[in-house]
Amino acid sequence: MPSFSGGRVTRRGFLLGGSGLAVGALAGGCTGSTSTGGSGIDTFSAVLKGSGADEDIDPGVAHLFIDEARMKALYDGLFEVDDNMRPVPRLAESGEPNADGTRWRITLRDARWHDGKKVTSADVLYTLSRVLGPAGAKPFIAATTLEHVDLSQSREVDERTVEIALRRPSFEFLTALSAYGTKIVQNGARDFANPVGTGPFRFESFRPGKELLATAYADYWDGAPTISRLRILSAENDARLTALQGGQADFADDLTPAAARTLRDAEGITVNATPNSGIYYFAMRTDRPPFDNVDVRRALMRMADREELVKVALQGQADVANDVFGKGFEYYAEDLPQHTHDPDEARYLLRKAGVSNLTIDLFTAPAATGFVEAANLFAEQASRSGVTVNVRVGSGDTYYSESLESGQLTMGQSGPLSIPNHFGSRLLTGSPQNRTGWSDPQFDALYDQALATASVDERTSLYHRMHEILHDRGGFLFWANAYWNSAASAKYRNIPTGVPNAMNWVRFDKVSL
Amino acid sequence: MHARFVLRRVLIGAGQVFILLALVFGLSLLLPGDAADVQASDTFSEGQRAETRHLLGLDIAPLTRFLTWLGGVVTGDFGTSYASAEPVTEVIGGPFAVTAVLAVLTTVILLPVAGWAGFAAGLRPGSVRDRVITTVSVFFDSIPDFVLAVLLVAYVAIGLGLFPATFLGVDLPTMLTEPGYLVLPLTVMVARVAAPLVRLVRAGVINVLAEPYIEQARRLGVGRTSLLLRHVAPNALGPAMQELGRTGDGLLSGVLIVEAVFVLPGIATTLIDAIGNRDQPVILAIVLITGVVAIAVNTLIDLVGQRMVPRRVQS
Amino acid sequence: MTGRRWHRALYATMVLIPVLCAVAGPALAGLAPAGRQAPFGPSTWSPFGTDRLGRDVLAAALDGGRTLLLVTAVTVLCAYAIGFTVGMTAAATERPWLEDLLMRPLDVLLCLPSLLIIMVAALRTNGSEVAIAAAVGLALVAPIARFVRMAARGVVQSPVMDALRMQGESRRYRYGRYAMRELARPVAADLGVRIGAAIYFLSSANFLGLGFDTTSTDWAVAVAANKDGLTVAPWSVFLPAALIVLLVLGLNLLWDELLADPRMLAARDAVRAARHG
Repeated sequence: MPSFSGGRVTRRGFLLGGSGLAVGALAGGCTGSTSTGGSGIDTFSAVLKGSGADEDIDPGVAHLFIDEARMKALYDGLFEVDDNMRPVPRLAESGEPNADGTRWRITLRDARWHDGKKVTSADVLYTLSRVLGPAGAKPFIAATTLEHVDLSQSREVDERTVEIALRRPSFEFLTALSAYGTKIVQNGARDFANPVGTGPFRFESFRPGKELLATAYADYWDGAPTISRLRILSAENDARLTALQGGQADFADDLTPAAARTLRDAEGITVNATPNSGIYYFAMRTDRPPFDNVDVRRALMRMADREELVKVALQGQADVANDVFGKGFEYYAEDLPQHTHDPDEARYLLRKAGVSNLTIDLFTAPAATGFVEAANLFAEQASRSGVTVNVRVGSGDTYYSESLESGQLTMGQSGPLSIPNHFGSRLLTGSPQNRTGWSDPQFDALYDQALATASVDERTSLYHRMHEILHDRGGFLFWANAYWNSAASAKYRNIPTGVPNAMNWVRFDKVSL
Repeated sequence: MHARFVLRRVLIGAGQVFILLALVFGLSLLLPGDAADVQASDTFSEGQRAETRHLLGLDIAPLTRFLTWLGGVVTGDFGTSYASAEPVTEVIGGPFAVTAVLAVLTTVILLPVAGWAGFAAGLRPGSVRDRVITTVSVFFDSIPDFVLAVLLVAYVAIGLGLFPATFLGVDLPTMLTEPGYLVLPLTVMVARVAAPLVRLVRAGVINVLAEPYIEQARRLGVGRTSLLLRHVAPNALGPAMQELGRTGDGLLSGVLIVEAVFVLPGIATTLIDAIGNRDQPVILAIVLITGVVAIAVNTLIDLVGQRMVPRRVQS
Repeated sequence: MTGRRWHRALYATMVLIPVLCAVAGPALAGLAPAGRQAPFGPSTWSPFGTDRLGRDVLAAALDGGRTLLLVTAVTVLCAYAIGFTVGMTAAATERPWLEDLLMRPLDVLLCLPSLLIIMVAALRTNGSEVAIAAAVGLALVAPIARFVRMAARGVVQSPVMDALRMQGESRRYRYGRYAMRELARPVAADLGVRIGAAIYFLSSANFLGLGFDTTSTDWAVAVAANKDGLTVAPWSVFLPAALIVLLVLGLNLLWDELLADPRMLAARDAVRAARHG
């Protein structure tokens, strides 16, 4: 066995005291970062939730959280969203609609690709035609979010202005341009294994499920990053905690509630809890018994003791939700009365629905923190209203696919998403992710009307009416808006703390000492 | 060794590997969902999921896929990973090297340690030496390896800061040039595997020493060393060799805990990932290689065992 | 001798604590307040605090032993019954084809990734304890059979057996008495190993999160599920882990102690002589 018994070396001493070869390898690796004088950061290691071989670096097909972090480093989108899910121009300087919202004029920033070429309108049109065209080895993520783009009518106005035509009006189009799979790639690009982007970091190497290495791009339009070398590492829950504790990483994303508590007591580490970041729900299939009965849905909304669910399943690291999506985001209906735990009211509603001895299958899986715990706890709570909930535990790997079509009652967690996007992707007749089987002509009409409405105030009131419908009789029982815990070594400033999917989440180009 | 016996075992071995692969493929189909479902996550529409399934070739009948893969293996093509779209050989090459290093180092440390401890304890059962060795080994045997691993990480790596806590972003050359990385994983591995071995060697030695022929040999004046090496060791080590022979399982689940806790990019983690991704080409390739190794080792151990305790000569 | 007796009492106590917990625990756990408290915090009922789900750590530990003990005991006994029979037959037979027929399928079983079997069993049956026990048992059979065969071969194929046969001793005596006696010690040692193996197998599968009910109070599940809170609420991990370690450590030590006791051997020999004399 290698002997270390005699040495009382410190960690750093030990690591740097090895052979010459090791110093080189470890300077970037294990010691995290080392300052090279001034305010520069030599290497910054961020560790995010990994997903193994499924991870991708092609901006058209990448769809995991960690993929998005890499995309932020290497590429830019035309727009991104802020913490309230409002679009913020990035590679675009501005985006202006015509009067009826069917044509959008996008002006580009004066930016350059990593190979020195200028960013032009042709790049934007190429990107759109790529993600809307035939798929390669994997389907393009943005094919659904951008399906209303009419490529044949879109055109290049000049080198830095492009006009995008839509098949139907949408005053929310800029949010669609900030969605996953819309990062701008270079005109004619085919080799995405060696990406040339416009982002703050230049690609160096990538191993799926392991790490991305990238170096600072000095000519970045938003200013050169302070970090000269960025590593984005993939790891499971426990490993992210240990890596940060052991000094092998400078930043750890998506920590479990217990891990966050552990790190709060640790010296030299700052923990950030970003509210409104993980939206937990039970999804009732409104197109199947027993949830095709509106009073059964209303009863279920009264059965859930949200406070207890938050306290136990999420260890208190969340705010109680109110059966509508998007607390803290633009267009959220703040004024709706809070649904509370009321077993007697639930009993009354069930009687009203003519249902007795109700038995429900709740399909869950260890797909995210607290799922199985919440499911079991909800079963306990429902029994107070005389309802039997049988918890069925499935595989965490395939849970979202399996639960999309199957079962009566399923659960899930959604990342932050703009409210119009949430409606469009989950709640319209024929939406791609319609987990509640929700189909309401009035609701669909309100949505179309909102998208075609230029005035923000009018749109807000239309969205409010949609929220009211869902709050009263929708299929989603939203019970928690969880905090997103991330932590970083305390010596850094400007550590990104945005809600996931937003611009200031895992964006490392502004980090400084 | 008899050539016929060897040939027979090789043929049986080939059959075993085939059945093993068929079983594993069947089991992997019993898991809910397929690779397309895993990749679909919560963003794909039903259409995109179907498209993924088609692009991966998962709409082809499972039997055809299995036989096609098997046909490819014969020509040296292990197929393409569903999850990463890379050739399987590329996906599993690195992890195999990492696990092999871990396994070889463990064995190198394990054999002298466990052999010595087992003998030392078994030669004088009931002595203080025996009690100390037995207690220590029983103690290590009684601590689940993940508890030991978690405690080592929490208190030795992070608390005392003596060794790196994980292998995050560390590649094989670094691992080998910086022995600090391997100390904790090897400690867990050896502690876990050594305990049963020590116990078995000890039991074997006590058993053999109680045999009348040992007493006989002693009376005849056979020297202590010769007695131990020629009479005690072969008989006492038989069962222990068997324990070592659990390579197949040892490689895959023993190493797994260590790989999981220390984030070692080894083959067990790769297998679990592949199972999670429903990535059958990778699963099959890993099982094929570990299966061939395990069956070969088991066969070898049987052959050696035959030599140590020969079957009655059949007339 | 007093030292020995003292040891034995100590080891027996070590085993008794977890066993008593498992037997009487569920009733005692009922005394704890029913509601949930804040997770990984102090508890109103015991000094051990609360676990990840806000349950009292002691109450959970009292509740969580029965299934583990039952599943382990049944699994190991069944696996040993099968493995021993197969291994012994393979060792005793003089027909190579029979040995191959018995042992070669086990080689295949030995190479099957056991966690894959457990995963399939857990997911296909919604975490049924019987299915998981069967999967663990299946994984244990092959190593047991291989061990028994190797250990038995030295005995069964020994000159003594030939001598006994020539002396006209019945097959029942030769295998049932002589071979069994010879094998008792290695098999007993091995049985101890397998009990540990079964427990760790279950807990390892849980540790890796292979689809079990992660909310159960089962000790093995508790260790794995509470490990996040190791530093904030160490007892939530240490208490169930200690019970497992105590159980296995006590069993192993007691086992060795009983096997090594010359008086017991002598007594057994005396009984044997009297019966057979």
